[in-house]
Amino acid sequence: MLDTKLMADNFINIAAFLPVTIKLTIGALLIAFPVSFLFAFTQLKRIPIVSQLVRLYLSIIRGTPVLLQMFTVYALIPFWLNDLLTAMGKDIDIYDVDPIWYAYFAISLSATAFLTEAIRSAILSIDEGQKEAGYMVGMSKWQVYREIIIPQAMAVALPIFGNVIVDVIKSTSLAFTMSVTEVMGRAKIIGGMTTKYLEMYIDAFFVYVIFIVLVELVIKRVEKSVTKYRKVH
Amino acid sequence: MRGFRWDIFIEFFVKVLPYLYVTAIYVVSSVFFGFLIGLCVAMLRLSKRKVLRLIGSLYVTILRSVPSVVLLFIIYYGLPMWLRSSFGIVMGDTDTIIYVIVTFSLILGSSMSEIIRTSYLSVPHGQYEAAVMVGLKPTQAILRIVFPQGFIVALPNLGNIFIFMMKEGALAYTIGLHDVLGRGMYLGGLKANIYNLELYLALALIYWPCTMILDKVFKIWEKKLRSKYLRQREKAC
Amino acid sequence: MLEIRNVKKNFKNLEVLKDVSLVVEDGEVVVILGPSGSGKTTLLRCISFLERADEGSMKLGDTEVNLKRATKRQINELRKNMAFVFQNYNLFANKTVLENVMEGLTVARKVPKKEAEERALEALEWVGVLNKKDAYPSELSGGQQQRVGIARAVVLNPEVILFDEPTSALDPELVGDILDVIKNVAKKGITMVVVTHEMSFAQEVASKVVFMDGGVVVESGTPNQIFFYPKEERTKKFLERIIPQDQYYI
Repeated sequence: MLDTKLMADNFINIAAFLPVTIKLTIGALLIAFPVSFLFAFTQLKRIPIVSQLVRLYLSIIRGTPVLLQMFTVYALIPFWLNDLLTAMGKDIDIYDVDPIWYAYFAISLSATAFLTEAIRSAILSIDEGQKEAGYMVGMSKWQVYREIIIPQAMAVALPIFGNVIVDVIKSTSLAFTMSVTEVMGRAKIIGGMTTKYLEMYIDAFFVYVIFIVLVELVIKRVEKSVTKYRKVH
Repeated sequence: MRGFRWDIFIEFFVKVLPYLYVTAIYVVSSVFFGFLIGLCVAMLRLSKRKVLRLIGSLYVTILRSVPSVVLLFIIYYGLPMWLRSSFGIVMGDTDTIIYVIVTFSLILGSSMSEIIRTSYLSVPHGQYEAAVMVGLKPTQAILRIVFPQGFIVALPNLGNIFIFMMKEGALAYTIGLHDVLGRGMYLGGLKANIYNLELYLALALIYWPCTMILDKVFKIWEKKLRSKYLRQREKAC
Repeated sequence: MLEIRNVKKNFKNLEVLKDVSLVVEDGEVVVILGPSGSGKTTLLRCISFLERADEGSMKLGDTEVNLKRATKRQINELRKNMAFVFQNYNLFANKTVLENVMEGLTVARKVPKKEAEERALEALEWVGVLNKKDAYPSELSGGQQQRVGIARAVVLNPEVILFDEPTSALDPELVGDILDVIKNVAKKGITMVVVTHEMSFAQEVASKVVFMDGGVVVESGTPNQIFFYPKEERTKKFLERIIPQDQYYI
């Protein structure tokens, strides 16, 4: 039946690629977070044209499969990048670019879409009274946002941020379709070498579950400490 | 950069569109079976016995932490093996959709259980009490009084599940199923992948409108139900 | 006739009902008074099996059951001979007023729809909210909702109606109207057990007043006996706090 010895032997082999998963996650989030704040800003300020475009972008990303997004990025971006670099006069062979850069970008697309909405609704959820009190003690609009609104909004949005982080980790498992070898990709490769695919995927299963459960525990801890001020005494 | 071939784009669009039925089959099936599983898990989590609650929580935690593609591959390789060794059932080549449905029923079961649990808890317990006090049996009380009220709360989340399933189900391509994405990639391959740009646009223009329609449908449905039961008093009498 | 014997109920470590017995004759209106935490609501909920007592038995008409060990079927059968009016009305939010009143008849007692509708309309008219028969509970005021709640109970022709602080959730100016409706129910000769704080109601309508405190029945008797000649210290203390001194000790 199941070759458990092979499974045990290769577990470390597969888990060894967890750093790639982490790299992909952090890379994607480093792109997604700042962009999401920017996009949320355009939505809240209702900047003409830009906010419409952003809404369109969000709608498309939220309405199409991640896999399709990845394929599209992988097919389009290298050529656009090539054209861009040539126009800038840089002589870089497009095939030298590490595919992980495309993966960062592709995974960030979906994260941005969900984060933008999360930030927007979290900021809107903060009671008007908080703003009014801030103005009345003499703070400027900018200060009110920085000191009062945004910190509270972040506390509200934290659970959703947590969900997005977990979703990003899970979507890294598709990076193998973009020639990036992470945990899942590694399992596929070893599976191919040993023809024992099932065993390798089960190993990958355990790697992901253990990792994500740990990440969720950390996120819960952070949530608890950040929302301390919201507890009713 | 070559020019965009609109004729090929339309060709892809027309040839892939009918395969929506495959997507529809696994979406509806997965949601249906996912609901059944979710119901069981929700009951476990609401049970008075700690052990049962733990089992329910464990299920939800594990399935929430697995990337869909990993579970899909495990089912794809593992299910035929298990069925053959335990029951002597041999799976055929056309059974790929079953692996998809099994995988996503398990995954949706986890999200469904959460939805069922929270919408059940959102209905005031007094509704159930009043129902049994007019003589309804507990099952009748739940079906006729608690469930309809919980359903309104669950509806938006149910809509999200359908949309999620439609998108996530596209992973079925990785095990060779000819659903929208799968068929599309196959047709793209027939043209040596030269026209994949046109293909991806066609695919996007199939998925995107569908998810938007689903979204709209559920929003309208929720609005209708809400305006029916939750009309506010116009004037105090 | 309703007989309640030796009911005990603990919530975790708290003994809410220590040993309560009560007899309610046919047609009697029994009012249960007492401070919060005395267990009066719990008693009502134990008899209707909304809580499971730890010990005790009850007899309603000819049927006798052990409160702890009663089966689901026994409970369902017993409930068909009782009715409950809740403090928070608990009208079925997803059904119209008329449907609310009919539900117990059509679904639980298999009364034909036409007959159930007639009886329901009659009950709604009797409590004074017939004009709201097609409205949903969210459209009604608290007073209107409680009237429907009472109609829903009365229409079932039960052997006994249990009232759990029926006016406690109402705005003060509406309390009197609802008490009038409940008085009319008493006039019909229906057996009633009412948990309430409304002393004047007890004095006017009750055939027996039961004072509970700390999970036991401290004293019981006619309204006259309890309000004007209380025997126990605890009863006196309680009444002192609720009724102004000069209305007391006539």
